[in-house]
Amino acid sequence: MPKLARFDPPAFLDDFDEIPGQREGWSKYISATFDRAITAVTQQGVPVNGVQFYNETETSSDPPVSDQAIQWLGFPQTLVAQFGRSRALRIADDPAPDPQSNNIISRQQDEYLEWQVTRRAGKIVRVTFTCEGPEYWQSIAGGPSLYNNPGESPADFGANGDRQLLVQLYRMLVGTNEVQEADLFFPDSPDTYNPWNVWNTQRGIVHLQQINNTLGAEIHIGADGTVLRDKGGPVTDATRLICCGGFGGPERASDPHLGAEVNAFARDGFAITLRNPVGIYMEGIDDTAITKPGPGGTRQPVGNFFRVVRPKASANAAGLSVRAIYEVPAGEQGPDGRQLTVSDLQIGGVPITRGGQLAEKITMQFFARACREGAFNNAGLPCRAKCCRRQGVLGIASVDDPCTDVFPASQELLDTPVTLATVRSATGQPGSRRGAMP
Amino acid sequence: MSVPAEGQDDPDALEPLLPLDDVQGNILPGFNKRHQRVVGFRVVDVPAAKRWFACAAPEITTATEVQRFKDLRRALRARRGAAPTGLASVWMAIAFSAPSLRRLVSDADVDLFEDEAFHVGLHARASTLGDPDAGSGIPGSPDLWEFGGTETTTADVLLILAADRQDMLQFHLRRVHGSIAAAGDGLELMFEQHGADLEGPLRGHEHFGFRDGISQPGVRGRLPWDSEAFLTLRVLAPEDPDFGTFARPGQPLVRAGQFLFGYATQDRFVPEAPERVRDAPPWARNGSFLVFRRLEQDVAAFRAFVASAASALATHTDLAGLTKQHLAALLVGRWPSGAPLMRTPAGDDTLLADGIPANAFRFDGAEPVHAFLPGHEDPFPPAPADRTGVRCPIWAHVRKVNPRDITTEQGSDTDTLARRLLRRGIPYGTEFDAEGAAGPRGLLYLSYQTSITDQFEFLASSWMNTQSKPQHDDGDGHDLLVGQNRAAGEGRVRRATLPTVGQGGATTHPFSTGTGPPWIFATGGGYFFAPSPSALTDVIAA
Repeated sequence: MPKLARFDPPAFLDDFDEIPGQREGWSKYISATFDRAITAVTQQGVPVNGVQFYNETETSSDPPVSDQAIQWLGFPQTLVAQFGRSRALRIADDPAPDPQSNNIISRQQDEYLEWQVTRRAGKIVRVTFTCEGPEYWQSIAGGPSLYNNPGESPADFGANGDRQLLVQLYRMLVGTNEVQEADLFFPDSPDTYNPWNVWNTQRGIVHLQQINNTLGAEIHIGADGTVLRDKGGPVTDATRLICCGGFGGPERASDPHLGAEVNAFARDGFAITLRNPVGIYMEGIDDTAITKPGPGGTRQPVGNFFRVVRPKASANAAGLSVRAIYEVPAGEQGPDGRQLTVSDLQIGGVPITRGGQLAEKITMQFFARACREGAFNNAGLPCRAKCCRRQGVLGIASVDDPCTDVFPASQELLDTPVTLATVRSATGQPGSRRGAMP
Repeated sequence: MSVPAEGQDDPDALEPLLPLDDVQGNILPGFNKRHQRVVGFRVVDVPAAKRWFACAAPEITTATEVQRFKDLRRALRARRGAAPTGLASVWMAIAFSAPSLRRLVSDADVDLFEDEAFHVGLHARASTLGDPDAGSGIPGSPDLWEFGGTETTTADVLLILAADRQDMLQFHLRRVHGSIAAAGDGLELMFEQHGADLEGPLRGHEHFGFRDGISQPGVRGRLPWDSEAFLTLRVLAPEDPDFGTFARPGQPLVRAGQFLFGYATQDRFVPEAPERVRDAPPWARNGSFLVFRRLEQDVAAFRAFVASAASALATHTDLAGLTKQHLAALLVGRWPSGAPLMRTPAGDDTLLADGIPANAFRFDGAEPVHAFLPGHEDPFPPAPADRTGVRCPIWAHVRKVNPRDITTEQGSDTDTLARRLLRRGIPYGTEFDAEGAAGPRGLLYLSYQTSITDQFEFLASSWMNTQSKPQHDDGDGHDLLVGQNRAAGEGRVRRATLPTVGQGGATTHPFSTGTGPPWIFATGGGYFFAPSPSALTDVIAA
């Protein structure tokens, strides 16, 4: 298989076609992001010729090639762990000040799926889902990156964007002509695109904006996942691996799973990359338990109310949905002749009152590509991080942090002295329980 | 690692002293009697029903009684060298639906249960479990269920009677009906369903011919009459690396809170760490949710499918010689004897069908060689790793419901511990091959857990009924044995892919069930809460 000619836009979206040089610029930008991720792997101690992650525009994928969809569910697992499911559902729907980003108003939906609920007269009429990375929109906006680091903005590679197109797309996706160009840029830095602009937070949804939901994060997690780790033995478990490797959010459904699946390939000596077009996608919604009201108080299965709006339907867009709307089609009436809304629907007998209930049913995916099985035989590296519990939630910490490592090395466990109580409680007569018979 | 001195009142205790006098005996350690009867009642007169609950409460069998009976049987067997004859008992368990508890206790109390499935009931969750739509006419649709398909046909109260002998069970059942009448007929009979272990060589097997009930989680906790002895027998030596996390190979230790209210549940990441106690009214302590599904099995349809699919698959060079028996074993993940494919992939081996060898395997990694306590051993070669499902398919039933050490779409394998439940099922109906064996047959599926949503329903809807979960790979698929597919436009077809490694390298062979009638489908059931004996007396009967 020859080298990849260029990286395409996520989901093969065609917005770039209207901007001269944009596709080439985007490809160079993604390529540079891969190269940075590869460099970061070498900085962790992997020798240059031992790096298992590769840039497909620079290194060919030799057959046989194995493409693997890595899947997870879209509702933020960290919120469930922190607050329990009921409260997490209440919290997740609405943007709120995010302590991770100086209390900017942001959605707290951190599984690379974000959504916005549209209500009318108290009823949910629409839930809009997106998994488009902010970098793509940054590239359409042009200008410097958020932190103004050279080489980190698509514009640095010739993807100069088109502000008019940006506004036009925003107006189309948000559904209002109220969107003004100035709304989309920082007031104190009018050249810099603002992912947390009001039309992408409180008043609309266009793309991912939770601080960790980026394409760059996906690429870096893919790269970090290829690093074999050792902590008194090979680290293979998903959570232990992410804690040891110090990448991503350990309590999320996505990041540990992404890392672990990639690492499984790496342990088998594969070279690994992310399949073009690099992106995060919705595989689909499981609507098998969603019902609408039927005659005589019965419930009936819903039709396909999950409408993919980006990309446009095409043969090569299968499994690459990046924007979808869940709503009851016009004309779909209940037994009383009223237009049904999402609020009239139930999932497993429970009325839909939150958009998160639908997010729980959406499967997300990204695609890893592996080839050259057995080409690498790397030794595991020691951990560069650990996990500690903070307010009950696992968080990445430096190995030098005095906090208690939730996953101490196997050897540390083996070094724990065996106590008399242990022995007494474990050495009952075989096949019986001491004291069971009076 | 030591076992800390943990009191009964510490909900976070790793190995709490379990008050087995106040836990129903079918939750722990489980009745496992040869004859059982599941009886559904409607509460028609609350005061009269409460009178009967009060007088029946002492008849509810406790975990202490079942445990001591089993210990006595084991001691007799050890001394005599054979199973004891004449040792018999009759046991009874009770459980209540959410609507009945609203009438018997209060709305406010029942609202404290956090589990949404319990609140809305099985009939409203049939679609979640993959059952066909009501009105579809397809076997398994709730409108065709004999009971439990609607709120009005769902039992308020479920009794489970269990006995070693059928005559004893009949006698006790007559006493139950008599005492209900004597208390003022507060309960009206809705259905009675007999269950019995199959006869002859199928004893301990389900109707498709496979030994059932082999793998159960090891419930953590200590016996109240000997605080140094565990409820679940431990066979690993202290020096074994799995000593603190497994009762025996293949049987991980799981916190009591996954099965009994009032105790810490399983942490998602650290097997020994406590997670929060599930929300429930205070009197729910030592109680558990009971799921009951009557699942009809069409043995002829199952056999016809495996014969035809095996024949089609055998046309591939890599699968030449694949027999229907082998394909059926691939669907289950075990051979009819119970011997796991992970240990004997080429054919059945009864030496691997019992005790420790029957369950000592993993999927992602090889099972290590263990150090055992005296009197326990596993002398056979350990099971190797099989991440890609060449030995035991990713979609094999035993792998779908318990992926063991596989990283799932939920993340770490430790999350899987929080999905385990206590299965207490028993077959009903006569053996398919018995002479004159007409009539329905199947499994009375019964399980105990503290979250119907996150345990029972999760396993069915997220894993068994889904092709790409818990493990997504070239060789994934539905659970063809039990799983359902109700996705629109799919015609209920379930699919799987058999991976092989032949001379031409790794290959996959997709196949599917077709749209014919299902070989396993629900015909009744319900979601219930099984209270502690003290809650029955002090709260429900009060």
